[in-house]
Amino acid sequence: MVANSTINITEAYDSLSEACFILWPSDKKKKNEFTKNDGFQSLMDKTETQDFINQRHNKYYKIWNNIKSQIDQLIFELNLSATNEIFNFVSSKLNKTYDNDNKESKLQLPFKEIPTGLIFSGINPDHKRIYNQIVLKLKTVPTNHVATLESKDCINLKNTMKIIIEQLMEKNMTEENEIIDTTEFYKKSKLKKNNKAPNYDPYILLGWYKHLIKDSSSSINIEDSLNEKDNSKLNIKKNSDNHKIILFIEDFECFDVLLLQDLISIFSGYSEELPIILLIGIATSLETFHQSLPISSLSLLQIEKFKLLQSYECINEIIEKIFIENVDFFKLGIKPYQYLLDNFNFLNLSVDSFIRGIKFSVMYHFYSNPLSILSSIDPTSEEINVIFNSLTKRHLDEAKVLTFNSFKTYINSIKSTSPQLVYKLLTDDNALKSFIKDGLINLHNYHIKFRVGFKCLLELQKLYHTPLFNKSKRTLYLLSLQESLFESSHVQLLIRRSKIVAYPAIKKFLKSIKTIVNEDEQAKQLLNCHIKVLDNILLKFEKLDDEGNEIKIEEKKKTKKGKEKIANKDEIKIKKEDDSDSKDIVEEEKEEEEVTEINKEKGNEDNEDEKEKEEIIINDNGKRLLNKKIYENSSLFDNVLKPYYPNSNIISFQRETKISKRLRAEELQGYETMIDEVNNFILNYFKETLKCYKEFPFHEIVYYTESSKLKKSFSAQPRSVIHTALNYPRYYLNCQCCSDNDHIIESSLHDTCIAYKLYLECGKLINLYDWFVAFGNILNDKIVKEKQKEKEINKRIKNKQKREAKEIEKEKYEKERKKEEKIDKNKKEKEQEEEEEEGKENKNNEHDVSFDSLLNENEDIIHKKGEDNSIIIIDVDNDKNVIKESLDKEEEENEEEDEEDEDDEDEDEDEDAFNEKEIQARFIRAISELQYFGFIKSTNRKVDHVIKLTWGSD
Amino acid sequence: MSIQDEVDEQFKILKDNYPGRELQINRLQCLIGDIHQVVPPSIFIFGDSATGKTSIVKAIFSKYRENASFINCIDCYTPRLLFEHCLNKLSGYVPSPDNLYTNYAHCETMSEFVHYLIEICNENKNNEDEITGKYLIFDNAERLRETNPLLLSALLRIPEITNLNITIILISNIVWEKFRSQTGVLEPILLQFPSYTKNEILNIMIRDCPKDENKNFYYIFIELLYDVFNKPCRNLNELRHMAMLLYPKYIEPINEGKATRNDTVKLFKHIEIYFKQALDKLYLRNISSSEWNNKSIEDYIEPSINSDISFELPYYTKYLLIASYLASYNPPRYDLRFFSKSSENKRRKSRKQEDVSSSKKSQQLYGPKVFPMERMLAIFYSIIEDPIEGTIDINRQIASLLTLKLLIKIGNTDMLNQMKCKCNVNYEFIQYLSKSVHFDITKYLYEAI
Repeated sequence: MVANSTINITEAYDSLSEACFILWPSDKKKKNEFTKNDGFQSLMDKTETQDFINQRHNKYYKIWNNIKSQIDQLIFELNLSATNEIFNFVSSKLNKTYDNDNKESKLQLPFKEIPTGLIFSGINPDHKRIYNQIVLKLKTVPTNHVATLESKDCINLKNTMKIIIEQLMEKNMTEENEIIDTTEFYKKSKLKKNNKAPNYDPYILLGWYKHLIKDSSSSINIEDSLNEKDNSKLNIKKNSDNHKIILFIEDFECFDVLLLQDLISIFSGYSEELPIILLIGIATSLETFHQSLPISSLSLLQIEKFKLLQSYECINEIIEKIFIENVDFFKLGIKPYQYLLDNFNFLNLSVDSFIRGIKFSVMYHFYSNPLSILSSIDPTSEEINVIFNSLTKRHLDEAKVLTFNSFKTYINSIKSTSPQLVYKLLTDDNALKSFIKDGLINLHNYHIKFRVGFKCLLELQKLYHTPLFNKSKRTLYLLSLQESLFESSHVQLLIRRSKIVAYPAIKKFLKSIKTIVNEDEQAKQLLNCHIKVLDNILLKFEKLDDEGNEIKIEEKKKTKKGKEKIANKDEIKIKKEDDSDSKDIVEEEKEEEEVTEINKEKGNEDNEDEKEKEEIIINDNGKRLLNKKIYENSSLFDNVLKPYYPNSNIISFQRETKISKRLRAEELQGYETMIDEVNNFILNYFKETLKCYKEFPFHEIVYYTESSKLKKSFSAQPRSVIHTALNYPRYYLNCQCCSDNDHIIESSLHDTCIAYKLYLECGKLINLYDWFVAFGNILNDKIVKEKQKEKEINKRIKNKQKREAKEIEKEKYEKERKKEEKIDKNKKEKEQEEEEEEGKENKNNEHDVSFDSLLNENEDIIHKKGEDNSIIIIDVDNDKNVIKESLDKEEEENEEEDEEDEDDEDEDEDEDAFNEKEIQARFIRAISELQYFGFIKSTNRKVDHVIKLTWGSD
Repeated sequence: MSIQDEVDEQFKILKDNYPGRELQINRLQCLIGDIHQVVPPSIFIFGDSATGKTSIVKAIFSKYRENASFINCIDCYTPRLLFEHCLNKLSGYVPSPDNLYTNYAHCETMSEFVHYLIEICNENKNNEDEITGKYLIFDNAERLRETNPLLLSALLRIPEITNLNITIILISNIVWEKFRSQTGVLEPILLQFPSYTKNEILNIMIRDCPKDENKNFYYIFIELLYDVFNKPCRNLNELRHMAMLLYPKYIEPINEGKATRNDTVKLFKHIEIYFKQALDKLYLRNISSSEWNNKSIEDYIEPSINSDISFELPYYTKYLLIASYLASYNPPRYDLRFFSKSSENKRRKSRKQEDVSSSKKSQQLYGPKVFPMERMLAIFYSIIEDPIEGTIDINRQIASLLTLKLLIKIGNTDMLNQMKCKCNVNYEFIQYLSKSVHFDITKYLYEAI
């Protein structure tokens, strides 16, 4: 019986070693279905019909292609100026050198400088796109011959020359393909090249270039055959000037410096005959360029510098273009946006990866959201009605779940005021439908307003010239997603500060708001009431323009001279009182007190008056003064608000503003009366336009708000993933048997996990044998338990059979049964003993088990088991045999001890020996897997040890 | 005019055009000036850069037609190119589309070269030519040592091997002693081109005087220039370059009517700022003549120091670079002191000062030290304020720092697990970086500078 069970195990084991199959899905139709629509699947528990899936799928393509073309266009436009600059440099440069030759005005150095354009691209890894754009632009002129060099191709000088010559000449060949002679010649030369290793030397280039000039001049001769000889000569001269050889070195940092030196000196040697221009793309800085090239090379270059668009600006423009200017479009919620932006700022500065992130978000939005069919279309249009009509009940249910957060807050907000509506919304589908539509229209209007508001906010920022108040578009948009942009401290500060902005600037600002709103037809309708207020203000301003400005200048002079102040006093008082309606009473009182105080002072003493003057002059520049304060108090941008809150500052601040207000009242009665009106307008205007998307119910339909998928897809964490997989495999295996307890290593874990857990407990060097023993101990429990179970089952079967037999021959077998029971007991005892003994022995016997040989043995075992299937044949080292022997010895020892037990234990001994081997094999497989992962490697220091690699040991 | 006359004429012109080189030109004329005589086997011309070696030799042999081959050894990076260029030049063969860009002959070894050389000489003998000798000139001859150790000795023995009237002329910046490492090298005739003296330099530079300018006035300018730049720069070319750049600025006040040609002091004061600037950027050529003209005076007075070194890096990458700088310049045994979170700073600070005083040599002077990647990452995680996860992006950034050569990989490149690096940026740059991320580098640096 026992023997039978071992056979079973070996059979199972055999299959285990052969179990390396790839199971292809047998059903072909199923496969097709899966890949249909790029894997877009039926959502909502598979109740979504094919039609909706198609809609989502098509929409994804439509939106993404739209975004892509917009971005491409944008980047192209953004780079246009840089491209043109470089193009102009190239086209101007060579003519210039030739002109110089003709004029001989500049001194003649014994060598000629090569005109060199240094292109600073920044480290963003997507400059390739811009380079291509530049090269394309350069190639628009047929006489420009461009060769682009990349560091990966240019290993040595020979290689580089080869690339240059091939790129320059073959381009020419293909151009002249029409002429039969040249094509034949090209073929010949190709043949020739094949026959004999071509010698790529610059002379070939020279010959080719001379031929080129001759060619072009002859063609001109044909054209201008009627002209006189002198004329054609002139033409030749012109044409030869136009031919340019442009070498574009794309990634300077990666090039071998010596190679570049040689290249430069070679081409400077030929620069008199060949018109060569170098363009060098540098990611870092001029300093690196200077450091890497020696003087002798630098002095051969005539350097001009170009800066490409930095990726910061690029990303700003993309965000504005895609997310702000597009109204009915795909939108990113706060989490994905923040993730993408953080990735950009902190990690790579790569525009391309940002775009990739957007693409993924678009894809996932349409992939996972059944209601995404409602997004990205104008909700006021007819099209949406069609979609709404087609919506199923399931969709509406989904809408309640999906937009749970925003829906719930909305329901809660109206719960008390209109319970009927709540009831209706929750029960009546049609009401919900129309409500969703209203929500979408609200969002649509909000986007239109936001677009305008955002532009105006940028204008508002421009009023202040300090960098503290200027945040980039990308940060502003981040703020707007986080909370209501209007309520953000930054905007609040800006608005508050607008009170003390000088009149002309404010006027300009308001006018620009008007033009911005007027430019946008849709926004104009929505913001009608605000426009009216604005018009009103501007109308008043116009009156001021005639009087106010004039007065202002005069008044200023007056205040500076310190004259006629007393005369104005009464007027000021009256004005103040007029204004005070809108102000707090306390403030008013304070102000009045101050005013009277100052008036008293002025009246009483001339000296005091002078002091006051000084103060006023300082306060005249109140803005600058304040700015300074802010600078002093805030070391970081984020602390901008700080100086406004500490108590110590508040008083002085208030005082200043009051004084400056008073001052302004003296200067500009007209505008002073309107300050609050203007400020109110600005407040209301931005409050209306700069809301947060989260305030709107059903924003989840339009916004993609999940960032976890993005993180998973783009920020892989190999280290922690492997650690979790090995330490807590149940997350991956979905099995219930193992607990999360870190202290106990359970035998039910996977072998590799057990080995890994033991590995975590070890130091830098791991003794393989210790590891093996510990591993074996854990496994032994399990194996023994399993075996016992098996035996019990076998026994039960046996017993059954026996019981049947018992009835026939009861007495005959009584003795035997007793004996069996005895054996069973003994077996248990023996096993326990054995385990203990084994443990002791293993610790005592320091076996030299080299890691590699263990591995080999493992492979050997596997190969023996799967001989039929084995494809790889691995040499078995001699070491292996030694170890095998040593292990055998050990087993023999065990056996000897075992033999002291009863005779019936023979079978068990076999089993134990087999256990030992099984554990060994399993252990070796586990550690070889760990080695494959890179946790351990063999070391030469100690043969029987492996070194723990720091990777993953934290 | 016979070739001999042309050559004589050329020598005469050269003596006029190259003041201070009369001695050397005379010497050359004695050696190779007579085209009918038997030429010396080899001449070695050496001297500092910008002493007129190449240009004089080139000018002389421009009159020798196809009997001389002037070859720049940097061009000919393989022996084959060298030989074929020589043969092309001597035979007057030009690669062009008509001959499929081939060379005179396919020639890869010295023996082939000798064979073809004899062939060419014999061909020419048939023509009735005045010049009996052949001249092989190798500029930047120090490169000949690199390609093949025996090439140089073989070349020098060509006259001996071929038994022809051939001269080998080597031009180099390096003295002959450095060529002697191989055996079998024949000693050539040495001809030194010494550095120019002040008078000679001024004499040469006065020749650049614009045609419409008073020579004396220009002389004052170049003398001033020489006195300023004399110490850091004796290179004639560089001085001429500077003169060309600065002269328009020098006469600017005169053109604007603010000064006359006699107001030397006023002009000096005006040009002083530009001189300072030029001294800073000497040899760097980062200001091209066009830019120089366009720049206003304010740019010179307040030069933005960081303009040369500044470029954008992602936030974490900056920290990575700072961390690697710290790993490179801090001794590993002090890592615990600087980067452990516990607050035992007081005791440590006192010890730190002792340590610094005891080890007198600055860490900075030793240059960056090699550090294992793991140590750098540990420092990185300790100095970065917000907790971040070790994602693949960090590894990617390390890779991109490596390609930018801001970090340099040391040792076997195949080793994946124990990558070791060096930080390749200077303190100035790190200071700039840490300022931009509001990180106080001096707190963590073993030796605060």
